[in-house]
Amino acid sequence: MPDSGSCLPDDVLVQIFLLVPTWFRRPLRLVCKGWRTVIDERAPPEDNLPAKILVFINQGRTSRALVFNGGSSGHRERTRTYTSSSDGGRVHMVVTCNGLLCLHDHTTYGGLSFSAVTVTNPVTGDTAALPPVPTRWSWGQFAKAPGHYSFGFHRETKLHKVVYIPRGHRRSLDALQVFTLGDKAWREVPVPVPGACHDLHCEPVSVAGATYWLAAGAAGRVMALDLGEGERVTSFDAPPAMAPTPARSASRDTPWRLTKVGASLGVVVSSPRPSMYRTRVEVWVLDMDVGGGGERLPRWSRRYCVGETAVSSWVMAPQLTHGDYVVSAEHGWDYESWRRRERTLHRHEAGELVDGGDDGWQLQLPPEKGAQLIVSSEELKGKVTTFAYVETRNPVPRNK
Amino acid sequence: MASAGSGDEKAAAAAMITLISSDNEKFEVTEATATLSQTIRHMIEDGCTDGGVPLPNVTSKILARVIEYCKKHATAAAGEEGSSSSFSDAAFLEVDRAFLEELEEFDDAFLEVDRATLFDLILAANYLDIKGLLNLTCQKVADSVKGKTPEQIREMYNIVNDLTPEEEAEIRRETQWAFE
Repeated sequence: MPDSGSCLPDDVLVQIFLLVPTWFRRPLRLVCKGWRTVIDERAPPEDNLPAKILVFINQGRTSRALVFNGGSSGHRERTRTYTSSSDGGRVHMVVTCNGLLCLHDHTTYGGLSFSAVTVTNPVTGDTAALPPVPTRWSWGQFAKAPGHYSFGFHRETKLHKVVYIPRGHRRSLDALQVFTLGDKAWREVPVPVPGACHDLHCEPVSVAGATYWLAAGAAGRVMALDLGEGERVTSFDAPPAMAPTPARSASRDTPWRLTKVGASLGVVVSSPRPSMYRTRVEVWVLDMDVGGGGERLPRWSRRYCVGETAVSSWVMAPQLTHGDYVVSAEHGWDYESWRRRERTLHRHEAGELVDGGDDGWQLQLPPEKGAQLIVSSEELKGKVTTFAYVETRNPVPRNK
Repeated sequence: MASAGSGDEKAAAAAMITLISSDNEKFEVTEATATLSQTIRHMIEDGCTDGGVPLPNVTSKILARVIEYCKKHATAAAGEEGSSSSFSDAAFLEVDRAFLEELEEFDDAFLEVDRATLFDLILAANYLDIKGLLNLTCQKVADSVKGKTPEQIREMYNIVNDLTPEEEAEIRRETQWAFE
Protein backbone atom coordinates (compact mmCIF):
# COMPACT_ATOMS: atom_id res chain seq x y z
CA MET A 1 0.00 0.00 0.00
CA PRO A 2 2.46 2.67 -1.06
CA ASP A 3 -0.19 5.38 -1.07
CA SER A 4 -2.13 4.47 2.02
CA GLY A 5 -3.34 7.21 4.34
CA SER A 6 -1.23 5.81 7.12
CA CYS A 7 1.98 6.48 5.19
CA LEU A 8 1.74 10.18 5.94
CA PRO A 9 3.94 11.29 8.82
CA ASP A 10 2.12 12.00 12.10
CA ASP A 11 2.92 15.72 11.89
CA VAL A 12 1.11 15.92 8.57
CA LEU A 13 -1.83 13.86 9.83
CA VAL A 14 -2.13 16.25 12.77
CA GLN A 15 -2.21 19.20 10.41
CA ILE A 16 -4.94 17.51 8.33
CA PHE A 17 -7.05 16.59 11.37
CA LEU A 18 -6.79 20.13 12.74
CA LEU A 19 -8.31 21.36 9.46
CA VAL A 20 -11.33 19.09 9.95
CA PRO A 21 -13.96 20.77 12.16
CA THR A 22 -13.99 19.02 15.54
CA TRP A 23 -17.60 17.87 15.10
CA PHE A 24 -16.48 15.83 12.07
CA ARG A 25 -13.27 14.62 13.71
CA ARG A 26 -14.71 12.15 16.20
CA PRO A 27 -15.81 9.48 13.65
CA LEU A 28 -12.33 9.59 12.08
CA ARG A 29 -11.11 7.73 15.18
CA LEU A 30 -12.84 4.68 13.75
CA VAL A 31 -10.73 4.54 10.57
CA CYS A 32 -7.66 2.76 11.99
CA LYS A 33 -5.46 2.53 15.08
CA GLY A 34 -2.94 5.06 13.83
CA TRP A 35 -5.57 7.71 13.19
CA ARG A 36 -7.20 7.11 16.55
CA THR A 37 -3.93 7.54 18.40
CA VAL A 38 -2.94 10.69 16.51
CA ILE A 39 -6.38 12.27 16.99
CA ASP A 40 -6.60 11.42 20.70
CA GLU A 41 -3.09 12.58 21.47
CA ARG A 42 -2.63 15.55 19.23
CA ALA A 43 -5.96 16.68 17.76
CA PRO A 44 -8.70 15.71 20.22
CA PRO A 45 -12.34 16.32 19.30
CA GLU A 46 -14.15 18.90 21.43
CA ASP A 47 -15.43 16.65 24.18
CA ASN A 48 -11.86 15.55 24.85
CA LEU A 49 -10.62 19.12 24.95
CA PRO A 50 -10.32 20.75 28.33
CA ALA A 51 -13.27 23.09 28.83
CA LYS A 52 -12.34 26.57 29.99
CA ILE A 53 -14.42 28.89 32.11
CA LEU A 54 -15.57 31.91 30.14
CA VAL A 55 -16.81 34.71 32.37
CA PHE A 56 -18.84 37.25 30.42
CA ILE A 57 -19.46 40.64 31.98
CA ASN A 58 -21.88 43.18 30.58
CA GLN A 59 -20.57 46.67 31.17
CA GLY A 60 -22.66 49.06 29.13
CA ARG A 61 -21.44 49.48 25.59
CA THR A 62 -18.43 47.24 26.01
CA SER A 63 -18.59 43.72 27.35
CA ARG A 64 -15.67 41.61 28.46
CA ALA A 65 -15.04 37.92 28.03
CA LEU A 66 -12.46 36.57 30.47
CA VAL A 67 -11.19 33.08 29.77
CA PHE A 68 -9.85 31.00 32.67
CA ASN A 69 -8.09 27.67 32.51
CA GLY A 70 -10.59 25.01 33.51
CA GLY A 71 -7.94 22.71 34.98
CA SER A 72 -6.43 22.73 38.41
CA SER A 73 -4.50 25.97 37.90
CA GLY A 74 -7.53 28.12 37.06
CA HIS A 75 -5.29 30.93 35.86
CA ARG A 76 -6.56 33.59 33.52
CA GLU A 77 -5.57 32.97 29.91
CA ARG A 78 -7.03 35.88 27.98
CA THR A 79 -9.43 38.76 27.85
CA ARG A 80 -11.49 39.87 24.91
CA THR A 81 -13.74 42.88 24.67
CA TYR A 82 -16.82 43.24 22.54
CA THR A 83 -18.13 46.71 21.82
CA SER A 84 -21.62 47.44 20.56
CA SER A 85 -21.87 49.04 17.13
CA SER A 86 -24.04 51.82 18.56
CA ASP A 87 -23.64 54.21 21.48
CA GLY A 88 -26.54 52.99 23.56
CA GLY A 89 -26.08 49.36 22.62
CA ARG A 90 -25.00 46.36 24.61
CA VAL A 91 -23.38 43.12 23.56
CA HIS A 92 -24.82 40.01 25.18
CA MET A 93 -23.33 36.61 24.90
CA VAL A 94 -26.03 34.16 23.86
CA VAL A 95 -23.96 31.04 24.40
CA THR A 96 -20.81 29.15 23.43
CA CYS A 97 -20.95 25.95 21.41
CA ASN A 98 -18.08 23.93 19.89
CA GLY A 99 -15.70 26.84 20.39
CA LEU A 100 -18.02 29.29 18.62
CA LEU A 101 -19.52 32.28 20.41
CA CYS A 102 -22.98 33.56 19.56
CA LEU A 103 -23.20 37.29 20.34
CA HIS A 104 -26.24 39.54 20.37
CA ASP A 105 -25.70 43.26 19.90
CA HIS A 106 -28.86 44.94 21.12
CA THR A 107 -29.86 48.60 21.05
CA THR A 108 -33.03 50.42 21.92
CA TYR A 109 -33.39 53.70 20.14
CA GLY A 110 -36.39 56.00 20.39
CA GLY A 111 -38.48 53.22 21.87
CA LEU A 112 -37.49 50.83 19.09
CA SER A 113 -35.29 47.84 19.53
CA PHE A 114 -32.61 46.58 17.13
CA SER A 115 -30.71 43.32 17.19
CA ALA A 116 -27.64 42.05 15.35
CA VAL A 117 -26.61 38.46 15.94
CA THR A 118 -23.17 37.13 14.99
CA VAL A 119 -21.45 33.78 15.39
CA THR A 120 -17.69 34.00 15.76
CA ASN A 121 -14.68 31.88 16.55
CA PRO A 122 -12.47 34.17 18.62
CA VAL A 123 -9.39 32.03 17.97
CA THR A 124 -9.45 32.42 14.19
CA GLY A 125 -11.53 35.59 13.98
CA ASP A 126 -13.90 33.80 11.59
CA THR A 127 -17.26 35.58 11.95
CA ALA A 128 -20.67 35.28 10.31
CA ALA A 129 -23.39 37.92 10.72
CA LEU A 130 -26.91 36.53 10.66
CA PRO A 131 -29.63 38.30 8.69
CA PRO A 132 -32.22 40.00 10.88
CA VAL A 133 -35.23 37.96 11.98
CA PRO A 134 -37.98 38.38 9.30
CA THR A 135 -40.25 41.43 9.42
CA ARG A 136 -43.40 39.76 10.63
CA TRP A 137 -41.35 39.05 13.70
CA SER A 138 -39.86 42.39 14.19
CA TRP A 139 -42.92 43.94 15.72
CA GLY A 140 -41.99 41.78 18.65
CA GLN A 141 -38.53 43.31 18.45
CA PHE A 142 -39.84 46.85 18.48
CA ALA A 143 -41.08 46.41 21.99
CA LYS A 144 -38.62 47.40 24.65
CA ALA A 145 -37.34 43.91 25.22
CA PRO A 146 -37.09 41.60 22.22
CA GLY A 147 -37.44 37.87 22.58
CA HIS A 148 -34.51 35.60 23.33
CA TYR A 149 -31.92 33.95 21.15
CA SER A 150 -30.32 30.58 21.75
CA PHE A 151 -27.68 28.60 19.88
CA GLY A 152 -27.19 24.85 19.83
CA PHE A 153 -25.70 21.91 18.00
CA HIS A 154 -27.37 18.70 16.90
CA ARG A 155 -24.85 15.94 16.99
CA GLU A 156 -26.35 13.45 14.55
CA THR A 157 -27.04 15.98 11.79
CA LYS A 158 -23.91 18.05 12.61
CA LEU A 159 -26.01 21.20 12.28
CA HIS A 160 -25.68 24.39 14.31
CA LYS A 161 -28.91 26.30 14.78
CA VAL A 162 -29.72 29.72 16.19
CA VAL A 163 -33.23 29.84 17.65
CA TYR A 164 -35.24 33.01 18.15
CA ILE A 165 -38.04 32.78 20.70
CA PRO A 166 -40.22 35.88 20.32
CA ARG A 167 -42.06 37.62 23.12
CA GLY A 168 -45.26 36.26 21.68
CA HIS A 169 -48.39 38.24 20.86
CA ARG A 170 -50.29 38.87 24.09
CA ARG A 171 -47.90 36.38 25.59
CA SER A 172 -49.05 33.45 23.50
CA LEU A 173 -46.50 31.88 21.21
CA ASP A 174 -47.46 30.04 18.02
CA ALA A 175 -44.13 29.87 16.22
CA LEU A 176 -40.37 30.26 16.59
CA GLN A 177 -37.73 31.30 14.09
CA VAL A 178 -34.80 29.00 13.41
CA PHE A 179 -31.61 29.78 11.48
CA THR A 180 -29.38 26.89 10.47
CA LEU A 181 -25.78 28.06 10.07
CA GLY A 182 -24.92 27.67 6.40
CA ASP A 183 -28.46 28.52 5.27
CA LYS A 184 -29.45 31.89 3.86
CA ALA A 185 -32.66 32.62 5.74
CA TRP A 186 -34.61 32.12 8.95
CA ARG A 187 -37.35 29.51 8.92
CA GLU A 188 -40.59 29.54 10.87
CA VAL A 189 -41.14 26.54 13.11
CA PRO A 190 -44.67 26.15 14.49
CA VAL A 191 -45.28 25.67 18.19
CA PRO A 192 -48.26 23.29 18.23
CA VAL A 193 -48.63 23.44 22.00
CA PRO A 194 -51.86 25.16 23.08
CA GLY A 195 -51.31 28.01 25.47
CA ALA A 196 -47.57 28.09 24.82
CA CYS A 197 -45.89 31.27 25.94
CA HIS A 198 -42.51 32.58 26.91
CA ASP A 199 -41.25 33.62 30.32
CA LEU A 200 -39.16 36.61 29.27
CA HIS A 201 -37.39 36.79 32.62
CA CYS A 202 -35.77 33.45 31.98
CA GLU A 203 -33.09 32.93 29.32
CA PRO A 204 -33.40 29.81 27.17
CA VAL A 205 -30.73 27.09 27.24
CA SER A 206 -29.59 24.77 24.45
CA VAL A 207 -28.14 21.45 25.50
CA ALA A 208 -27.80 17.94 24.03
CA GLY A 209 -29.53 18.73 20.74
CA ALA A 210 -32.51 20.68 22.10
CA THR A 211 -33.39 24.26 23.02
CA TYR A 212 -35.40 24.73 26.21
CA TRP A 213 -37.31 27.72 27.51
CA LEU A 214 -39.81 28.32 30.27
CA ALA A 215 -43.46 29.00 29.67
CA ALA A 216 -44.78 32.01 31.55
CA GLY A 217 -47.74 32.21 33.86
CA ALA A 218 -49.49 28.97 34.67
CA ALA A 219 -47.76 26.27 36.71
CA GLY A 220 -44.28 25.72 35.41
CA ARG A 221 -43.92 24.10 32.03
CA VAL A 222 -40.66 23.60 30.21
CA MET A 223 -40.86 23.95 26.43
CA ALA A 224 -38.39 22.04 24.25
CA LEU A 225 -37.43 22.36 20.59
CA ASP A 226 -35.68 19.32 19.13
CA LEU A 227 -32.82 20.70 16.99
CA GLY A 228 -32.77 17.59 14.79
CA GLU A 229 -34.51 17.20 11.46
CA GLY A 230 -38.02 17.00 12.95
CA GLU A 231 -37.71 20.31 14.84
CA ARG A 232 -40.61 19.27 17.03
CA VAL A 233 -41.74 21.42 19.93
CA THR A 234 -42.94 19.63 23.04
CA SER A 235 -43.56 20.60 26.62
CA PHE A 236 -43.30 18.87 29.97
CA ASP A 237 -43.61 19.63 33.67
CA ALA A 238 -41.02 21.75 35.41
CA PRO A 239 -39.58 20.38 38.65
CA PRO A 240 -42.10 20.42 41.53
CA ALA A 241 -40.07 23.01 43.43
CA MET A 242 -41.00 25.55 40.78
CA ALA A 243 -44.62 26.00 41.87
CA PRO A 244 -45.28 29.69 41.23
CA THR A 245 -46.46 32.17 43.83
CA PRO A 246 -48.00 35.55 42.99
CA ALA A 247 -45.27 37.38 44.86
CA ARG A 248 -42.64 35.91 42.59
CA SER A 249 -44.16 36.87 39.30
CA ALA A 250 -44.16 40.48 40.43
CA SER A 251 -40.47 40.38 41.17
CA ARG A 252 -38.09 41.40 38.44
CA ASP A 253 -35.39 39.21 39.85
CA THR A 254 -36.47 35.82 38.57
CA PRO A 255 -36.64 33.10 41.19
CA TRP A 256 -35.76 30.45 38.62
CA ARG A 257 -33.32 30.11 35.80
CA LEU A 258 -32.48 27.46 33.27
CA THR A 259 -28.88 26.31 33.30
CA LYS A 260 -26.55 23.56 32.15
CA VAL A 261 -25.23 21.03 34.62
CA GLY A 262 -22.56 19.13 32.72
CA ALA A 263 -24.34 18.17 29.51
CA SER A 264 -27.85 18.15 31.03
CA LEU A 265 -30.55 20.73 31.47
CA GLY A 266 -30.85 22.14 34.96
CA VAL A 267 -33.29 24.45 36.71
CA VAL A 268 -32.17 26.73 39.52
CA VAL A 269 -34.93 27.56 41.98
CA SER A 270 -34.28 30.27 44.57
CA SER A 271 -36.61 30.80 47.47
CA PRO A 272 -36.07 33.61 49.97
CA ARG A 273 -36.02 32.59 53.59
CA PRO A 274 -37.48 34.58 56.43
CA SER A 275 -34.04 35.09 57.90
CA MET A 276 -32.67 38.30 56.54
CA TYR A 277 -30.65 38.33 53.31
CA ARG A 278 -30.73 34.59 52.96
CA THR A 279 -31.86 32.56 50.01
CA ARG A 280 -32.19 28.85 49.55
CA VAL A 281 -31.12 27.57 46.15
CA GLU A 282 -32.06 24.23 44.71
CA VAL A 283 -30.67 22.84 41.49
CA TRP A 284 -32.77 20.26 39.63
CA VAL A 285 -31.37 18.21 36.79
CA LEU A 286 -33.27 16.65 33.91
CA ASP A 287 -32.81 13.05 32.86
CA MET A 288 -34.55 11.59 29.88
CA ASP A 289 -35.79 8.07 30.55
CA VAL A 290 -36.86 5.95 27.65
CA GLY A 291 -40.34 4.56 28.16
CA GLY A 292 -41.73 1.17 27.14
CA GLY A 293 -42.93 2.50 23.78
CA GLY A 294 -39.57 4.14 23.05
CA GLU A 295 -40.92 7.56 24.05
CA ARG A 296 -38.73 9.86 26.11
CA LEU A 297 -39.93 10.56 29.62
CA PRO A 298 -38.52 13.53 31.48
CA ARG A 299 -37.49 12.91 35.07
CA TRP A 300 -36.24 15.60 37.46
CA SER A 301 -33.95 15.00 40.39
CA ARG A 302 -32.59 17.44 42.92
CA ARG A 303 -28.81 17.62 42.59
CA TYR A 304 -27.81 20.47 44.91
CA CYS A 305 -29.38 22.50 47.67
CA VAL A 306 -27.33 25.35 49.02
CA GLY A 307 -27.57 28.76 50.61
CA GLU A 308 -26.86 32.22 49.31
CA THR A 309 -26.54 35.47 51.17
CA ALA A 310 -26.74 39.06 50.15
CA VAL A 311 -22.96 39.14 49.73
CA SER A 312 -22.20 35.79 48.20
CA SER A 313 -24.05 34.12 45.41
CA TRP A 314 -23.46 31.36 42.88
CA VAL A 315 -23.00 32.19 39.25
CA MET A 316 -25.67 29.76 38.17
CA ALA A 317 -26.46 30.54 34.56
CA PRO A 318 -26.29 29.66 31.81
CA GLN A 319 -23.61 27.14 32.84
CA LEU A 320 -23.50 25.94 36.43
CA THR A 321 -20.75 23.33 36.46
CA HIS A 322 -17.33 23.69 34.88
CA GLY A 323 -15.92 20.21 35.02
CA ASP A 324 -15.47 19.66 38.73
CA TYR A 325 -16.03 23.30 39.63
CA VAL A 326 -18.68 25.91 40.23
CA VAL A 327 -18.15 29.68 40.44
CA SER A 328 -19.34 32.11 43.08
CA ALA A 329 -19.35 35.90 43.17
CA GLU A 330 -18.84 37.67 46.49
CA HIS A 331 -19.08 41.23 47.62
CA GLY A 332 -16.69 42.38 50.25
CA TRP A 333 -18.11 42.33 53.77
CA ASP A 334 -17.20 45.92 54.48
CA TYR A 335 -19.53 48.77 53.65
CA GLU A 336 -17.11 50.49 51.30
CA SER A 337 -16.70 47.59 48.89
CA TRP A 338 -20.42 46.91 49.08
CA ARG A 339 -21.10 50.50 48.12
CA ARG A 340 -18.62 50.33 45.25
CA ARG A 341 -20.21 47.04 44.14
CA GLU A 342 -16.84 45.36 44.17
CA ARG A 343 -16.93 41.62 43.92
CA THR A 344 -14.55 38.74 43.66
CA LEU A 345 -15.01 35.50 41.78
CA HIS A 346 -14.15 32.19 43.40
CA ARG A 347 -14.00 28.71 42.04
CA HIS A 348 -15.24 25.91 44.28
CA GLU A 349 -15.24 22.19 43.86
CA ALA A 350 -18.73 21.09 42.86
CA GLY A 351 -18.43 18.29 45.41
CA GLU A 352 -18.70 20.93 48.11
CA LEU A 353 -22.21 21.75 46.93
CA VAL A 354 -23.54 18.75 48.80
CA ASP A 355 -27.21 18.21 49.23
CA GLY A 356 -28.01 20.05 52.42
CA GLY A 357 -31.51 18.64 52.66
CA ASP A 358 -34.35 21.02 53.32
CA ASP A 359 -32.11 23.06 55.54
CA GLY A 360 -29.74 23.61 52.69
CA TRP A 361 -29.85 27.32 53.24
CA GLN A 362 -27.75 26.84 56.33
CA LEU A 363 -25.04 25.34 54.25
CA GLN A 364 -23.00 28.20 53.10
CA LEU A 365 -19.52 28.00 51.76
CA PRO A 366 -17.05 30.43 53.16
CA PRO A 367 -15.65 32.27 50.14
CA GLU A 368 -12.06 31.69 51.17
CA LYS A 369 -12.53 27.98 50.63
CA GLY A 370 -12.45 28.41 46.89
CA ALA A 371 -9.53 29.59 44.80
CA GLN A 372 -9.95 33.14 43.62
CA LEU A 373 -10.22 33.81 39.90
CA ILE A 374 -8.13 36.85 39.19
CA VAL A 375 -10.36 39.69 38.08
CA SER A 376 -9.91 43.38 38.81
CA SER A 377 -12.72 45.18 40.59
CA GLU A 378 -13.07 47.43 37.54
CA GLU A 379 -13.84 44.41 35.39
CA LEU A 380 -16.40 42.99 37.73
CA LYS A 381 -18.93 45.79 37.59
CA GLY A 382 -21.82 44.44 35.59
CA LYS A 383 -23.94 41.38 35.06
CA VAL A 384 -21.82 38.24 35.30
CA THR A 385 -22.61 35.05 33.41
CA THR A 386 -20.41 31.99 32.93
CA PHE A 387 -20.05 29.63 30.00
CA ALA A 388 -18.13 26.43 29.33
CA TYR A 389 -15.83 27.11 26.42
CA VAL A 390 -13.51 24.91 24.40
CA GLU A 391 -10.84 26.54 22.27
CA THR A 392 -10.98 25.15 18.73
CA ARG A 393 -10.12 26.28 15.22
CA ASN A 394 -13.59 25.27 14.05
CA PRO A 395 -14.81 27.36 11.14
CA VAL A 396 -18.20 29.06 11.34
CA PRO A 397 -20.34 26.77 9.12
CA ARG A 398 -21.19 28.48 5.83
CA ASN A 399 -22.80 27.72 2.56
CA LYS A 400 -20.13 26.94 -0.01
CA MET B 1 8.14 50.11 -6.22
CA ALA B 2 9.92 52.39 -8.64
CA SER B 3 12.42 53.28 -5.95
CA ALA B 4 16.13 52.98 -5.43
CA GLY B 5 15.66 49.43 -4.15
CA SER B 6 14.61 48.03 -7.50
CA GLY B 7 18.18 47.61 -8.73
CA ASP B 8 19.05 45.34 -5.82
CA GLU B 9 15.84 43.46 -6.29
CA LYS B 10 16.65 42.72 -9.88
CA ALA B 11 20.02 41.41 -8.82
CA ALA B 12 18.35 39.19 -6.21
CA ALA B 13 15.79 38.02 -8.73
CA ALA B 14 18.54 37.17 -11.18
CA ALA B 15 20.24 34.84 -8.66
CA MET B 16 19.41 31.32 -9.80
CA ILE B 17 19.34 28.12 -7.77
CA THR B 18 19.57 24.64 -9.19
CA LEU B 19 17.33 21.98 -7.64
CA ILE B 20 18.11 18.32 -8.33
CA SER B 21 15.31 15.74 -8.09
CA SER B 22 15.73 12.17 -6.84
CA ASP B 23 15.91 10.97 -10.46
CA ASN B 24 18.70 13.46 -11.13
CA GLU B 25 16.79 15.98 -13.17
CA LYS B 26 17.97 19.59 -12.78
CA PHE B 27 15.61 22.55 -12.37
CA GLU B 28 16.79 26.15 -12.55
CA VAL B 29 14.67 28.50 -10.44
CA THR B 30 15.01 32.05 -9.18
CA GLU B 31 15.93 32.56 -5.57
CA ALA B 32 12.58 34.27 -4.96
CA THR B 33 10.80 31.10 -6.11
CA ALA B 34 13.09 28.72 -4.21
CA THR B 35 12.88 30.58 -0.90
CA LEU B 36 9.17 29.85 -0.57
CA SER B 37 10.66 26.66 0.81
CA GLN B 38 11.98 27.30 4.31
CA THR B 39 14.28 24.31 3.94
CA ILE B 40 15.96 25.79 0.87
CA ARG B 41 15.94 29.30 2.39
CA HIS B 42 18.03 27.98 5.29
CA MET B 43 20.40 26.26 2.86
CA ILE B 44 20.87 29.52 0.96
CA GLU B 45 21.49 31.38 4.22
CA ASP B 46 24.07 28.79 5.17
CA GLY B 47 25.66 29.20 1.74
CA CYS B 48 25.47 25.56 0.76
CA THR B 49 23.62 25.77 -2.55
CA ASP B 50 26.63 25.94 -4.86
CA GLY B 51 26.56 23.07 -7.30
CA GLY B 52 22.81 22.61 -6.85
CA VAL B 53 20.49 21.45 -4.09
CA PRO B 54 19.90 17.69 -4.12
CA LEU B 55 16.35 16.72 -3.08
CA PRO B 56 16.53 12.93 -2.69
CA ASN B 57 12.94 12.74 -1.40
CA VAL B 58 11.28 14.42 -4.39
CA THR B 59 10.82 12.97 -7.88
CA SER B 60 11.12 15.17 -10.98
CA LYS B 61 7.39 14.81 -11.68
CA ILE B 62 6.47 16.17 -8.24
CA LEU B 63 9.26 18.74 -8.15
CA ALA B 64 8.01 20.22 -11.44
CA ARG B 65 4.56 20.68 -9.87
CA VAL B 66 6.00 22.15 -6.69
CA ILE B 67 8.05 24.65 -8.71
CA GLU B 68 4.96 25.56 -10.71
CA TYR B 69 3.19 26.37 -7.42
CA CYS B 70 6.14 28.34 -6.03
CA LYS B 71 6.57 30.42 -9.19
CA LYS B 72 2.95 31.48 -9.13
CA HIS B 73 2.96 32.26 -5.43
CA ALA B 74 6.34 34.01 -5.49
CA THR B 75 4.87 36.42 -8.04
CA ALA B 76 1.90 36.86 -5.73
CA ALA B 77 4.15 37.68 -2.78
CA ALA B 78 6.10 40.22 -4.88
CA GLY B 79 2.82 41.71 -6.10
CA GLU B 80 1.60 42.20 -2.54
CA GLU B 81 4.74 44.11 -1.59
CA GLY B 82 4.47 46.20 -4.71
CA SER B 83 0.89 47.22 -4.10
CA SER B 84 1.47 48.46 -0.58
CA SER B 85 3.13 51.65 -1.83
CA SER B 86 0.01 52.58 -3.78
CA PHE B 87 -2.47 51.45 -1.19
CA SER B 88 -4.93 54.25 -1.77
CA ASP B 89 -5.05 53.70 -5.49
CA ALA B 90 -8.40 52.09 -6.29
CA ALA B 91 -7.15 50.83 -9.66
CA PHE B 92 -4.36 48.95 -7.95
CA LEU B 93 -6.76 47.41 -5.46
CA GLU B 94 -8.89 46.30 -8.37
CA VAL B 95 -5.87 44.66 -9.96
CA ASP B 96 -5.06 42.99 -6.63
CA ARG B 97 -8.50 41.55 -6.37
CA ALA B 98 -8.37 40.19 -9.89
CA PHE B 99 -4.96 38.71 -9.13
CA LEU B 100 -6.16 37.07 -5.93
CA GLU B 101 -9.07 35.53 -7.79
CA GLU B 102 -6.69 34.26 -10.43
CA LEU B 103 -4.50 32.80 -7.68
CA GLU B 104 -7.50 31.03 -6.16
CA GLU B 105 -8.39 29.58 -9.56
CA PHE B 106 -4.80 28.46 -9.97
CA ASP B 107 -4.89 26.71 -6.58
CA ASP B 108 -8.16 24.97 -7.42
CA ALA B 109 -6.81 23.75 -10.77
CA PHE B 110 -3.52 22.78 -9.12
CA LEU B 111 -5.37 20.41 -6.78
CA GLU B 112 -7.02 18.53 -9.65
CA VAL B 113 -4.71 15.55 -9.23
CA ASP B 114 -5.10 11.90 -8.34
CA ARG B 115 -4.75 10.75 -4.76
CA ALA B 116 -1.19 9.41 -5.12
CA THR B 117 0.04 12.72 -6.56
CA LEU B 118 -1.77 14.64 -3.81
CA PHE B 119 0.02 12.59 -1.15
CA ASP B 120 3.37 13.04 -2.90
CA LEU B 121 2.74 16.79 -3.00
CA ILE B 122 1.96 16.77 0.73
CA LEU B 123 5.14 14.85 1.49
CA ALA B 124 7.20 17.21 -0.69
CA ALA B 125 5.61 20.32 0.85
CA ASN B 126 6.29 18.90 4.30
CA TYR B 127 9.91 18.05 3.50
CA LEU B 128 10.59 21.36 1.76
CA ASP B 129 8.60 23.23 4.43
CA ILE B 130 6.39 25.23 2.07
CA LYS B 131 3.67 26.43 4.36
CA GLY B 132 1.15 27.57 1.76
CA LEU B 133 1.38 24.39 -0.30
CA LEU B 134 1.18 22.14 2.75
CA ASN B 135 -1.88 23.98 3.98
CA LEU B 136 -3.53 23.85 0.55
CA THR B 137 -2.97 20.12 0.07
CA CYS B 138 -3.87 19.20 3.66
CA GLN B 139 -7.09 21.21 3.33
CA LYS B 140 -7.95 19.13 0.27
CA VAL B 141 -7.59 15.91 2.28
CA ALA B 142 -9.44 17.41 5.25
CA ASP B 143 -12.37 18.40 2.99
CA SER B 144 -12.44 14.93 1.46
CA VAL B 145 -12.89 13.12 4.80
CA LYS B 146 -15.42 15.57 6.23
CA GLY B 147 -18.77 13.88 6.80
CA LYS B 148 -17.66 10.53 5.33
CA THR B 149 -18.13 7.23 7.12
CA PRO B 150 -14.98 5.46 8.35
CA GLU B 151 -15.64 2.76 5.72
CA GLN B 152 -15.75 5.31 2.89
CA ILE B 153 -12.53 6.90 4.11
CA ARG B 154 -10.71 3.57 4.30
CA GLU B 155 -11.77 2.80 0.75
CA MET B 156 -10.81 6.24 -0.50
CA TYR B 157 -7.33 6.17 1.02
CA ASN B 158 -6.61 2.48 0.89
CA ILE B 159 -6.35 2.12 4.66
CA VAL B 160 -6.59 -1.25 6.35
CA ASN B 161 -8.86 -1.37 9.38
CA ASP B 162 -6.61 -2.75 12.11
CA LEU B 163 -9.07 -2.12 14.95
CA THR B 164 -10.49 -5.22 16.59
CA PRO B 165 -14.31 -5.47 16.73
CA GLU B 166 -14.06 -4.91 20.51
CA GLU B 167 -12.03 -1.71 20.07
CA GLU B 168 -14.44 -0.51 17.42
CA ALA B 169 -17.42 -1.17 19.70
CA GLU B 170 -15.72 0.78 22.48
CA ILE B 171 -15.00 3.78 20.28
CA ARG B 172 -18.59 3.74 19.08
CA ARG B 173 -19.79 3.74 22.67
CA GLU B 174 -17.61 6.76 23.47
CA THR B 175 -19.04 8.50 20.42
CA GLN B 176 -22.50 8.31 21.97
CA TRP B 177 -21.50 10.68 24.74
CA ALA B 178 -23.17 13.99 24.78
CA PHE B 179 -20.92 16.96 24.50
CA GLU B 180 -21.02 20.74 23.97
